[in-house]
Amino acid sequence: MVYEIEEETKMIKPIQVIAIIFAIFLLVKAILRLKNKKLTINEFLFWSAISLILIILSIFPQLSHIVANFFGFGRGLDFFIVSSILLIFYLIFRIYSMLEDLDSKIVKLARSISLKEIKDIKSLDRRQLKDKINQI
Amino acid sequence: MKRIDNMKNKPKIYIVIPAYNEENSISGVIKDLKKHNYHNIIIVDDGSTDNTLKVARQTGVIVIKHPINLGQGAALRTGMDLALELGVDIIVTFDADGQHMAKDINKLIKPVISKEVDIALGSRFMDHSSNTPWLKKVLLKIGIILIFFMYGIMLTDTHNGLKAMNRQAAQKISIESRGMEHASEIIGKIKVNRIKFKEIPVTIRYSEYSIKKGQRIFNSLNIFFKMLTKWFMK
Repeated sequence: MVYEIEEETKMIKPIQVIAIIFAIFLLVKAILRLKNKKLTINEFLFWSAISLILIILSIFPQLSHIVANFFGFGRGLDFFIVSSILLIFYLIFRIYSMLEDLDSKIVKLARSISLKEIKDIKSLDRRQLKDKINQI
Repeated sequence: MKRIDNMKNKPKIYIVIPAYNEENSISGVIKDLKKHNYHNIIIVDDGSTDNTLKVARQTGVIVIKHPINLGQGAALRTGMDLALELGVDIIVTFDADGQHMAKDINKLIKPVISKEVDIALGSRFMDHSSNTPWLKKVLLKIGIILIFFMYGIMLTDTHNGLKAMNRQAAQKISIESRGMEHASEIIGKIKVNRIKFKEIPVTIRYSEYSIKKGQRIFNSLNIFFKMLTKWFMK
């Protein structure tokens, strides 16, 4: 088993290099965003875990076979693709509900601005009101 | 108690008109309403990019403006919220593009004032006074069937903006949809809250202008899609 893994690492395929570069890129991005305080520590841990898993799997592809066999998939790649799709579905769902939240917040904000303005206008006297209308 | 007494004498009626880029039709609509003695008018300018706001303010009615365009559903809600705050007894929703007639309002509010129903819905298909274009007719009929499958309420016209409701119904309905899906949402809320309703025949005047401004075919597909995603994501 150990011998096999060594065999695999000797023949590095281009896809492994690409995956590693992408993972490092993701990791650097995550670190930079953490530094700028644009990521919370939990989000940072999530993204760095993903890039670390990606790096480990591309260096030792045999590992994915073991995990895939455990879950009942034939090939390591199958397991990888299926779990990625599930993750993406989850993330899309999160983004969708976040957008919905944001949307209703914007509507509430805009409405409160409108209602406040009408209260302001009500407090003006007739001449001020005329000036205001002419301004618009 | 005081409000109930008010209802007996003279109910406070507010006409709520959501308007988005209607500078050409809005003053005519307001004039028509004033001619029929409806002076409590709330125009909700939904972030128009033309002169709707200016034209509406010059008529002297209450004008409230959204800082950005939110959609007709949101505009209706804003207008209804304001009317409720002003202590309204009956809210009438009316379109700004001139396709509704002010003379129909009287028919609509009658059953609401007499407390026969809580909400009166305008219907263009109960008589033959409206000159509905055939393609529009087909789409509207599909909408009616969809509404029947979704809520189990069979109406003759589900997407008519002309409605009259009392205070309690308005409070229960409080629209959450931002866009055009509000029409179906209102029917859903009527069903859930067991609001008493009735359909009243009204006339829709299709002019070249209102057809151009109205819903396009593609849009109705869009609305349907939005409703579907909302269903799934709930």
